[in-house]
Amino acid sequence: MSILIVEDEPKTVSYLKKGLKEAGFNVEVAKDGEQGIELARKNTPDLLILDVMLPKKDGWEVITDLRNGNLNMPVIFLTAKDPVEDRVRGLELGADDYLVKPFAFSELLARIRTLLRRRSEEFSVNNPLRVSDLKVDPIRQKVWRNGETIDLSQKEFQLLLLFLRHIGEVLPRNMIIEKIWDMHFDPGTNVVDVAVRRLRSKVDEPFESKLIHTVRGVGYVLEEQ
Amino acid sequence: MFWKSNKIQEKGKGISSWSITTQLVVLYTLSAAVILSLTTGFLYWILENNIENADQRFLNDKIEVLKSISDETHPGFERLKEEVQWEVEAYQFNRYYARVLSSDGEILIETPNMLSILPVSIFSRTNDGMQSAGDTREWKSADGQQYILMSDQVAPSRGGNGPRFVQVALNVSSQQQILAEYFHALLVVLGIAILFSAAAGAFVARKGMKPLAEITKTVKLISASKLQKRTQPDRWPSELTTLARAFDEMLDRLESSFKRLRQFSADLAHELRTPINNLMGETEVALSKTRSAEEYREVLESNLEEYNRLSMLIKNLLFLAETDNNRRKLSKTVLSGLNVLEDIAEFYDMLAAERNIRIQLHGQVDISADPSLFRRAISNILSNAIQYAPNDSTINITMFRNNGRTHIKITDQGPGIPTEHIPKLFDRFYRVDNSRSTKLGGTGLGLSIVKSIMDLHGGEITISSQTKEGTTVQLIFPAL
Repeated sequence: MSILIVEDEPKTVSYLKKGLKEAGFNVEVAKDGEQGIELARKNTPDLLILDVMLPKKDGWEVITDLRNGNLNMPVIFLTAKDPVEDRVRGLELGADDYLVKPFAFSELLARIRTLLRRRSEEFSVNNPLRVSDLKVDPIRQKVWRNGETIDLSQKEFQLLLLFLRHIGEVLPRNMIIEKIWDMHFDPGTNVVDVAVRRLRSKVDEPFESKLIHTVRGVGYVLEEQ
Repeated sequence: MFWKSNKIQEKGKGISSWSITTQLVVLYTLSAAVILSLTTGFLYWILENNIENADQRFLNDKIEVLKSISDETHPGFERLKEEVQWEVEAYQFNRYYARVLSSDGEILIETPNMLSILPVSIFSRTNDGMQSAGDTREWKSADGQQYILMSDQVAPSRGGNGPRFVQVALNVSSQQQILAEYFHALLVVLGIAILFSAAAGAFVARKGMKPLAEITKTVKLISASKLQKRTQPDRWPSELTTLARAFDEMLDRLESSFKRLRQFSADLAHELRTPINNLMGETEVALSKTRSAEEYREVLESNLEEYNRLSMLIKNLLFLAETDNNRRKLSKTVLSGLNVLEDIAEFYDMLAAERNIRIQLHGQVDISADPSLFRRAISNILSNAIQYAPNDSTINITMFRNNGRTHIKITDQGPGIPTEHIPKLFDRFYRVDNSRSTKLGGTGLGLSIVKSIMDLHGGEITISSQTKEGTTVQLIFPAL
């Protein structure tokens, strides 16, 4: 999967490039709007990360240009600008997502993966999911580990399902809040930590190998280590 | 007025943008001019009328006399003839002329020289040169003299005379001249009177506007650094006391917002100082010698937590800035209060259950509000309530409608808040107990955010508290 970053601030470019490469993406960088359009047309990347304030042509112009030229790859806007009207404008012009600085890299990553997944392989929700010795039947809402049935509450089950759909991906706290409780702001509480702790106490604690791991300062990840 | 914005002044290019003094002077002078002109005009008109009437009467009398004696058989006829001859000499000033014509146009009696000055024909109005009866007209001779001409017919007499014609004329040039001179004098007087009234108007207006100029001077002395100065309403004339009082009240509000702003900047600096100090210190110490990868990782993780706190702080401050500047658009919908509260209660359920806190909902009302802002407000209050509620307690959320307004009461059984803190709870970064709140990880902006959300909705928030019994936060939304 290839990503084009259109951003003029060198430090931002540097960490985005590094982080995205390590997450397994092919990364290209354009330093201004014109170069961005040129590279997007030439290489047709799978996704575009577009800063709003750019030299030569700003983000609005870039996306308008691309959409008019029938380039429909997902675009994520990054901006330090006032979010309220800009967010609406960005989405109207055809952006798929919008992140306001400062944002967590893990959140950007999660959103990129969601967008790319939405475009390619639709996740098959209804097959039994399996990691190591953990097995989940999403239809009958049953969970087994090491052959034992585990009883989970509704929210705990949803949380486990969310983890299983993003195996190996770090899920930031606000993404968990958004997906599980449909709250679109950060309430600044440790509800997520409590929920994960309860899930762990049932899914992980009685067993030898641990599946849910804390990534300090970021969130949680479910993977076999 | 000095606080009037330039925009308004540019917009009003008409009379209303002139200075009040100019307006007063102009209006005063205009009305004085109108009144004076009307008065003098009226006086002139009366004079002119009187003079004309007097002339008319004079000529009428003469005509009557001539008519009654115009018969040669009349014993007074010769006397009349003489009188007409020498009467001219008597009227030096108002030259008067008379003529009696027979029915075939023969001159029977005539003032000497009359024919050369006033020919018979000028009295005539008819084409055949015959005289019509009871005729009056004005006439100007070639040498510029003004006359009033009057003619009449005398019915045939018993003595067998045919109809006679009587013609009289009065030279009114000198009267016209007097009138003209009077008119000029009136114009001069009028001009002078208007000038005087303008001067008087200017004097009065300037004197009247003086307190305004003084109050402006006082107001100019007030600046951001001298906000405690006041205009002292009692010093001014009654018209200005209202203004002065309103101005002082505005200054009160400005002063308190300035104070809050200053406090806010200081608090913000303090708020930033702690996490940045942690970041600097930790990073510096980490770099001071070579460490294991694990130790570096530890430092970076700890830093990330601080960054998250800073990021959260920025997001909350931006939120407040947007609502303060009214830049946030409300997208109001009618919500089922119970549904939203159930959602939020569910969100906090696990957190509350950990400490065996029950969240109980009572009542159901529909609320017209912006869904995401409403959820945010309730969420902030509920999270506070859970923080301060003791283990094994209940948080009650009650919804009801009173006078059309929707009330939502959230009551905890916590330790309560000392009364002196309550008014300051909505101030940014205000914390009842500093050490405790920072440890709990809030940004100190939660209630400020709730307050601005309520302001946006035109609602209210009140907090009441009983020490050791608990705290009640009440949100009141305006009628649907």
